[in-house]
Amino acid sequence: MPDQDDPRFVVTASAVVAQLRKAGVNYITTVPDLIQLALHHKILADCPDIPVITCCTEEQATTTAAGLLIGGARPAIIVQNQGLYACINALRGAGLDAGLPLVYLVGQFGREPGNLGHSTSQSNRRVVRLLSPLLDALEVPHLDVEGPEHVPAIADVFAQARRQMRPAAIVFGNYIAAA
Amino acid sequence: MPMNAKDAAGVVAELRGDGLVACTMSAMHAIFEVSPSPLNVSSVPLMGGATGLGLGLALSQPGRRVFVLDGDSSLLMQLGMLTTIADQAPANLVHLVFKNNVQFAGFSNTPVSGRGKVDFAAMALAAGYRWARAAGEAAALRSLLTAPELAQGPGLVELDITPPPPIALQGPVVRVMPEKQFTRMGDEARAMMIALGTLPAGV
Repeated sequence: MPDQDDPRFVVTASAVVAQLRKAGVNYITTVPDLIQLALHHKILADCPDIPVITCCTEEQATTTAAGLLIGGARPAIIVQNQGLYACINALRGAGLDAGLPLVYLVGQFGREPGNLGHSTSQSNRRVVRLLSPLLDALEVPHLDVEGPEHVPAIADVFAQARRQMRPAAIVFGNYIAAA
Repeated sequence: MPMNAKDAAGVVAELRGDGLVACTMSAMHAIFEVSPSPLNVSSVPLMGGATGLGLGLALSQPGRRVFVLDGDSSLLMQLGMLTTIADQAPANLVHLVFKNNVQFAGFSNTPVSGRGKVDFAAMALAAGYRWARAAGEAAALRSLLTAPELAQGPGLVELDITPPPPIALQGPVVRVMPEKQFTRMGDEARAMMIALGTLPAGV
């Protein structure tokens, strides 16, 4: 059974930040996510040029990012799977109906180590299992980051969202490592 | 003299200059009636979203004054935005809460949670806004928005708004929503991005 430190499934905060920089991200709106804790720390510690707006709810993170986008900034929204579930209506309104390229970084909180290397549709935990089909139902394209090989595509998700003026999600299936 | 939503919106129209407006609910209808502009964006149908839109606009467009035209029910729905706005402290944001104590103003006038007893100005100050006041008439709002000592935000004005009377509800309550209700947020966002020059290249 794989564990969460198995290098096949470990993505580093530095690598993700490099992709955010490549995408031109210059704001974060967030309700902090345990899975992406190392990313939060990396941004707060090493990226003074990327201000973090900590919100009370994921709906607020969504609408604030929408305002930033309209005003010309390039935000990323960092939330947990539970948070994505909590802000579906804001995503529907500001992202899908209004056609704004909101990009969510979503951590798969609760994923059991035994599910790493397998489809999340086989997870024992509903909070994990529902995310992918929900995003599909919402017609939100998503990049599933299951290991280092998927990281180079992160910046492309932002670029495609802007080209198509539609939201997108980047789903982290394992804890981001503090490196 | 009691103030309705259009009276309050009229003061914003008079003073906005090149300011941006993020609005919702009855304030949205009022501001578009008196000050239609590509610099207006509505949170619709997305109750509660005007504060987030306004905060994002204020931070990304620091050279412009941003007016958030909010409803009392809408703010209650996202009350935590008070702390987020206070935390970010955009000096160019003024938050106007159209407190009419009802939902579906001019239709059913259904009571709001708190039934009018909520003190939004006190809440804003407690959250950390730079200033907050209440205004019961348009002249008072005008004075607040032009006061030099209140030029720096974030500030909040709780507006005592008289809602239109409800219509008589008889038989099946049916209200057909026009298509525009579901497209206007995107249309307005795009128009504002064009006006600001922020629409992504090639879109």
